[in-house]
Amino acid sequence: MTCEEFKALAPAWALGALEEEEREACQAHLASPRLHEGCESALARAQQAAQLLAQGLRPVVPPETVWNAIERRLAQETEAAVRRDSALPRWSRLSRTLALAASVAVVFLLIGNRLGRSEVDRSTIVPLRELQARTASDLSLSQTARTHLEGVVEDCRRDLKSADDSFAERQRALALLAEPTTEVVGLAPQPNFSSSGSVILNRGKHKAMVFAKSLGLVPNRDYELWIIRNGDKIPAGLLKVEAGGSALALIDNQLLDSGADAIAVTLEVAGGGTVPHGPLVLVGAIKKG
Amino acid sequence: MRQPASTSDSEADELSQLRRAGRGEAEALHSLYERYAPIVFAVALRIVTNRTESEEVVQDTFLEVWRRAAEYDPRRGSPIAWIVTIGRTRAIDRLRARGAQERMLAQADAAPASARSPAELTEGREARERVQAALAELPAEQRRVLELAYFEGLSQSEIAKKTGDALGTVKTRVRLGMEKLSATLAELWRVDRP
Repeated sequence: MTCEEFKALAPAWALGALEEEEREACQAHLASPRLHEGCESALARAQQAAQLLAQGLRPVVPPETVWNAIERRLAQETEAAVRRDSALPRWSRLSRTLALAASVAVVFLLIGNRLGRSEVDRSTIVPLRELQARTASDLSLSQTARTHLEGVVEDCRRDLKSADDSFAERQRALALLAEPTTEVVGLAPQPNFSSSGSVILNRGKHKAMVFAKSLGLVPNRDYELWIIRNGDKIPAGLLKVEAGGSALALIDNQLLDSGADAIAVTLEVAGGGTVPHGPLVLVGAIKKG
Repeated sequence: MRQPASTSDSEADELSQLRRAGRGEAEALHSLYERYAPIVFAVALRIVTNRTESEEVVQDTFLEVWRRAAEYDPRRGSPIAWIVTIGRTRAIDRLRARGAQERMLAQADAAPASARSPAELTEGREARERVQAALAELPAEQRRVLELAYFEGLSQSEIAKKTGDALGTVKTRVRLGMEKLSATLAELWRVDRP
């Protein structure tokens, strides 16, 4: 199937009107690693248009019992997940999380690689008119991706601004966040913890900060930061948790410059240690620079 | 005013809520529910024509959003399109599972959605009226094939069988109807942009 053929079928696909074999062919085409000519954006546009049929209906508010039932199911699923996870050894949980995070990083790399490769292809083989069309399509894609990433940065900025005012480092973090080359890496909360966090990272300036929130204060326990490199867990200091449950810490730039696959936070006995013993609280994979 | 294609602000907001739901924040899921459950419910009522089943479709939809929020890919469409597509798919699955005969019984039993629970949202009303006007402008045969596909889950060949039209004619109507919807979408987008 060519991209032109795909785009001709995209409206019927978005409507759900394709035959099974046509739909499978479209799925296979979209999943192929070839250089596409605006296929994804054509499908997205068709889906938006098809959705007008839903938009034309008069909205009807479901009864409250529907949300109540959803909440009950969420609670059951969360409880089951916590039970399943508690059965695993601590660092098995970390490995599993890192594997997931690494897959996300690989997807990012593949996308980057694909876009990078398409630049080379365009400059060498495609006619000018086609080049213009493809560039417009890719610009539309990268615009959407940028909106997504900007949202991550905005989340982090909002959280920082609402954090405890006593933070001396807060302005520094906001300034770092304002740098155009700064990346924000989300730290995923682990089962049994409702904390969340981000790593604010600027490779060019050799600066990185960790910001976490909703860290519960636990007597005789400290939150400790770790850099994971080639499977080694390197201690990177304790997080000073403010009364509001937020913590902001600068990561040692020498530690980070030596490379990091991931950053994690664990809950350790007061004072921390050189190897992690406590439960994993937050973890996030760092993309290769 | 909200509009179907969503402005960049509301889209960024929806993306943020989906990301938070993907991280396990139930509050974010609730915000998405408040905003989109009425549309999903309306679609489900239109498809399965049974109130209890439509409520179950809404439940299933938002549980699926919760489980799959981390997989959402913004390149494949806006959050609202993704959520409504999940709801529509769930409703069509139920419709297929139930079979035609039972569906006819349910239709006879079900009151129109608006009669039982009007609870119409005022938000988006103007956009909806414009969408309805645009749909009304579609030639009847084009609107019919679009509705048969979208609300009854029929493929183009099934539509051809049902209507007695040639497959090629159905495909042309789908294409022309969708082109007009796209033009409507572009028009709404242009009008609503600041």
